[in-house]
Amino acid sequence: MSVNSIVEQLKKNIAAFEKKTEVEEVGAIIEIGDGIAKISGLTECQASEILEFSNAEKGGGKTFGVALNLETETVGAMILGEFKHLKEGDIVKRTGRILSVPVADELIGRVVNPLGEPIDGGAPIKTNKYYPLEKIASGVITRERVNSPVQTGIKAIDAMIPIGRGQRELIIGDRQTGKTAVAIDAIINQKGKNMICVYVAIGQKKSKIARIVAKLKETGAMDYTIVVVAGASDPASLVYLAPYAGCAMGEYFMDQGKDVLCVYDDLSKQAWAYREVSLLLRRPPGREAYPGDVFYLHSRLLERACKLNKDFGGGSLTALPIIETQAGDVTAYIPTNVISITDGQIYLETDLFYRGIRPALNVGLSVSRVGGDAQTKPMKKVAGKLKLAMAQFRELEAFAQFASDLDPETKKQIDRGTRITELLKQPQFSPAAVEDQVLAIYAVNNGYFDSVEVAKVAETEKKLVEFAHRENPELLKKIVKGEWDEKIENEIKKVCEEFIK
Amino acid sequence: MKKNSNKQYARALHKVTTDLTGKNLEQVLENFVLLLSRDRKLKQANNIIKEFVDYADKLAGIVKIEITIAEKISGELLEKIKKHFGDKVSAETKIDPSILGGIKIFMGDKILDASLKTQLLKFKKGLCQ
Repeated sequence: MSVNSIVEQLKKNIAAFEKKTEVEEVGAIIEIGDGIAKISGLTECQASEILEFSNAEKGGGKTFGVALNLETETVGAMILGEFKHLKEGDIVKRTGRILSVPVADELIGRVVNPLGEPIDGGAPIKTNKYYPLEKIASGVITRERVNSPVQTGIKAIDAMIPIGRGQRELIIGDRQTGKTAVAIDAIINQKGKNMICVYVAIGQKKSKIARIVAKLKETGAMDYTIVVVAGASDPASLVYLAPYAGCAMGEYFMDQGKDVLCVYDDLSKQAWAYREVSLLLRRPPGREAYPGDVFYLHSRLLERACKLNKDFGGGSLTALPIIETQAGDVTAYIPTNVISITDGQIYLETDLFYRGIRPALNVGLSVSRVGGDAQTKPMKKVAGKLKLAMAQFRELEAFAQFASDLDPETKKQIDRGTRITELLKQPQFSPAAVEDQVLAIYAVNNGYFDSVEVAKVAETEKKLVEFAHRENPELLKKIVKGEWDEKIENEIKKVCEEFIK
Repeated sequence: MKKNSNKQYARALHKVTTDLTGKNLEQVLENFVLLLSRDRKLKQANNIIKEFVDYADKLAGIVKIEITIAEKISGELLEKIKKHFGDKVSAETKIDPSILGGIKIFMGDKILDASLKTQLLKFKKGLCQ
């Protein structure tokens, strides 16, 4: 750009500048501390409106807050970000805007904070479009039943606890049981599946977040993922808002008719942050010192997950909330709340994790209430038998040690069960394709692996999949398309028999 | 019992005291102080007095404004501004060079900001976009 054109542009800008004076409504801080301010004045203030704190000493620097408590003479607000420079008597202005985040396609691949500001060192996000953080979930008229699957790439989940697009599936377990690993694997497996992913890290260590982002970049998952971060060092106000911000960003893509997968990792920390904010605002505490509306805190968030019907664009938002339990106690307040809100849970156990069964899925306690409708036909066919075999195995598992004294029928069931358990083990970051899953599960169901040593099941499975890809790629393509009839079944049978030879 | 706000106390006091004089007034004020002590509102006394004055001003149609200006204000200009806000205006002026120029008027919990500083900041924001 030449000097002249710059001058021209500048002149144009100056000419366009209008001297406007607006009447602004102001109040003053009465009391401030711990990220919460009590403000006088602001008679017309709306609930969850953004307030602007201006401090004379800081010059043009602005701090924002959100009005939460509207009382007779005061307004209780939480401050977003740093608040040390604010003091009693500072002026607070209304902005007339409800709390919202910027939304744009360019958010994809970025790491942002709950206010939509990038924290990955990249360019600021330029957009004129804002979505409110708090939005009432889509109504009955706009929805349809969950009908297409989210392939997580984890055999145990895709076969036995299927997740559909628009479902809310809770991932619950103690610390260090691989909850995040399940969610990250699910995100990585969405490559090329036309899915936008939003990973909301709530109150987590920055080191863990950095590791996850690096992994997502390495696997190419960052090309379709937004990471929303409210770290452990961020104030409680931002931690509390993070899931809503992530959800609002997801809704933007859902409204364009796209499919979105939202992971909230984890909601127990958000409940803690909300408890902190509520207690500081002097709202009365209830059970476990959580405020009375902590159920609504999660239900209004998870209710926003939905599958829209054709008339409304056909988009979907799948939610994978994560809850951390303390010493396996699922009867604590927050876990029971979230279990009752979601459409099923994936229950991870420490015991199983240390026994080497990873993902440490407790098949008995994990359920998916709506995902079954969304499974593809081939998967539904083979998974039914798998579930039955696993249930029988669980009953007999206790006798497994006395294998020598058992009748042959029972022994066979136990052998089958151990092989299935072995097959369902899967290392992290290695998602399996649907067709491979169907093939392997069919083979083990029909006893083709019975002659294989338990330790060699994984290896044999790998060989079988390679063999099938080499010998009959047409068959696998049909399975991907969701076709299933006797002919296909016979073909699979043939492949397996040939392979065993 | 529902707590009364400072505003309610001020209004009540205004209502009972408007047409009173001499002894009666003294009696009423004494009772009011006792009422405040009973309700444990003595701490709020200063705020209640402020509310009372505000309320009385409002009923009398007096508009209170606070003018902030960069340099000393001339009497003529002050009269002009006052006229703009109505017949009965009580104005306070404050000199604050940091606003550079123009004028800033506070009116209750509203602010009319026509200071040069704010205009420049807005202009800067406009150019940066």
